[in-house]
Amino acid sequence: MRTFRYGLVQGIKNIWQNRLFSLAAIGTMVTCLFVLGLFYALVANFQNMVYHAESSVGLTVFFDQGIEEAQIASIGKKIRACKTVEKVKYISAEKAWENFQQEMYGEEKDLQDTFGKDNPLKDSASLEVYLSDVSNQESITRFIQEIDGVRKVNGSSSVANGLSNFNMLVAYVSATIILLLLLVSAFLISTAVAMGIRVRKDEISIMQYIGATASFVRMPFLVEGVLIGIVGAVIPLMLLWVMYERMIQFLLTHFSVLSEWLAFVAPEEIFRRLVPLSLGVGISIGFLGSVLSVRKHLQR
Amino acid sequence: MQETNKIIELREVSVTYPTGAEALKQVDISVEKGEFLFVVGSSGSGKSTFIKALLGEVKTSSGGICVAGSNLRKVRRRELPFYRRRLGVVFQEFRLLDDRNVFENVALAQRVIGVSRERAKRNVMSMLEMVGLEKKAKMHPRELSGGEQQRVAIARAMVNRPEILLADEPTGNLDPKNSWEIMTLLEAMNQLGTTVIVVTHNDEIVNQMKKRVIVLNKGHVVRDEKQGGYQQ
Repeated sequence: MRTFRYGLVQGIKNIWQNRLFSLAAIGTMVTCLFVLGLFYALVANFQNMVYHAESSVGLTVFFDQGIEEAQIASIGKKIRACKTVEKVKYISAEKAWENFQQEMYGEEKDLQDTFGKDNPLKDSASLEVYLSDVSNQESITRFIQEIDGVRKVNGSSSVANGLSNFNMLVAYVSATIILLLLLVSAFLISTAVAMGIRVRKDEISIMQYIGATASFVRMPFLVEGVLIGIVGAVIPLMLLWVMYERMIQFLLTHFSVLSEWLAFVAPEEIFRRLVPLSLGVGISIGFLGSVLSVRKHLQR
Repeated sequence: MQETNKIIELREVSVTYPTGAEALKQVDISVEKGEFLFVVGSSGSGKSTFIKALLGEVKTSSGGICVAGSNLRKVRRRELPFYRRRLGVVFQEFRLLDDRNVFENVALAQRVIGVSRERAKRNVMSMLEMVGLEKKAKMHPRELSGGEQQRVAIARAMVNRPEILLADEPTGNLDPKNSWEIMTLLEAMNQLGTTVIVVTHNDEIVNQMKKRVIVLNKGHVVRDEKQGGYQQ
């Protein structure tokens, strides 16, 4: 405990003594974790919107003429058994005709009555299949087509693939940028710690002569790196919190027309994962940077 | 190897640096508990290497060193700090920390070995009293004379009550008056039972103190006298 207290005090002193390097390290860490947070929020929101979009992108399954209701029910059961199928909705021929009429003629009753009791869509009972992940659409389509009694499966694979690919692209680009920035942060923290070691060379040497253990000598430098990591994580979290809340408010106020499409994730939901993620990354990078520097410069 | 009264024993010790320079060659030295010993010799004679070897800072190429019951060949890297706690070291250039006051400089030694704050305070003040600096505890090294700074260094070296005190040119940066004060202080530490080894160039001090003198030349022990002088 005494060693830790000593390490903490000396670690803070180190940061102050090498404030320029410490600031550079904190600055890079802030940038890095800000970008991480920003991309995380973007990806999370995008995924949320994609999820909403995906749930409206479905497959429509049509059946052979004269198929029995029981057979349709059996096909529905087989489809429901697939893991990636979220929902299956039965549209009877009557309902299909009713929907069509509603769409085509609206409230014009005269036009609706033109067909009398006839149902031109009497062989158009269908199942609407909604997937939890649109990237599986092709395989599910193939599976359904092979079921006996299925005449045709309509899907919108281009929309599904497009959404899926764009989501992947955003994730890859953000991961690459974050990785590069993390490497720069680790390097800068390691340089700041190396400066601290150089400045305190005499003290370290004296401590080693009077019997300080390796952990006692190293503690302040490890604390320094971890503190830089924590400060570098807390600042972007606070910035992101304020920005995120204001941005959602702004978009929902000024673009209310798009509110149906803009399904934002609540700030609490985003930060419940982002806080431990950022702190974890900050502390790990700070610790890693220090360890690398200490191992390199404190060999004796 | 170790006899009851011997606190330091070097047997056929050779030290060769990676550059190929042979700093110590087949050195045999035994030091009794409570002895006061001068190690003299010209530059490059191996005096500093002798101190470094005792501190475990350089590895011997051959031979064995036994200090206070520890065989240095067998002391592992992580055990070295605990071995060093049994030794006190004083340097020519004092090596005090300028950003800390006298008290804090001495207290660092106690902190390193994990002594509680209260106990460290008592020990440090008692040691400062011993070296006559109790009233200057809050001053910074730059506010002290060279002699006073060396006394702080001695207090730091002695506060953990080591069995052996190694002093590498402790009067090298001091005028004659301060040099004598420092030597008197080291002798007082020796009177209290600490084995004191002083590496020095100061012939006047060596000649007047009439202590054991070991002369090194090009890594060899060329003279070892009980009450010797700087020159034969």
